[in-house]
Amino acid sequence: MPSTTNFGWTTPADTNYVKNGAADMRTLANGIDTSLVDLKGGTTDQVLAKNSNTDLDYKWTSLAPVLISTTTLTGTTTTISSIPSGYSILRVQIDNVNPISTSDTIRFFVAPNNSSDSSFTFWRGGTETRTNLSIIELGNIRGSTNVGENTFILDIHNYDSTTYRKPFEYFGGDGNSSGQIVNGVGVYANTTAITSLVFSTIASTGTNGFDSGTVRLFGVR
Amino acid sequence: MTYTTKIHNVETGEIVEREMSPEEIKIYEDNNATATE
Repeated sequence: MPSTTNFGWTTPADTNYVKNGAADMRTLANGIDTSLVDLKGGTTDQVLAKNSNTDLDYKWTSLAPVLISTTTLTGTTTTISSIPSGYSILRVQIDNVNPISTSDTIRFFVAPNNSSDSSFTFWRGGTETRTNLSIIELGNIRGSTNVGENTFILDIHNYDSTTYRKPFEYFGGDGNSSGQIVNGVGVYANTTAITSLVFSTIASTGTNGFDSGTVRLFGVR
Repeated sequence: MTYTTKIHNVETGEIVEREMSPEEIKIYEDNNATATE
């Protein structure tokens, strides 16, 4: 039987009997139906991408950041572990952090891989360079007034690479009367993939740790 | 003083809350020490 040039769909020969036309059309339609099955489906705002190098192997996918997890902050430290690889940027969105201490100002940290290898260098607020640290200081939160009125975003690039170092950027702040807003950039000068994040605080008085707070991880393609 | 930690494994969804081990406390205190200005 003849077939089409590009997709190889079976078509009837010129010498086929007209009485077989229905079956011939079914054969052609079924071939097309099978070939294009990956085009079916998808949801609003998804785009079509190749699923492999194989011809006509497609998948529907979203270009928006993918929510990986949601974690509530409690305890002296909170660890988010087994972070999946496969994204170009790991986005950490932190909201409404409520510390145990009722100090006016509490320093808020995150330690990728809970490392103590002092691989971090970062520059924040346009005025200060910090080097040889094991943790990133995201900013200050308050335990007395305007408690929990804070939000921070941390983007870590190359986070799953075992070859390259990890540049990061962060910004956010606490909605208190003095308006403590922070921004910074830095690098985790280590080629180890980041698979966990450990959140902690240092309070000038009282107990370190969290009563509550929400951390959402997003994977950015 | 009691140090507690909460560990959320995002692959399995498991959440464990427990006291920190001596090794974890040492890393925590070392990190605090490097962060102290």
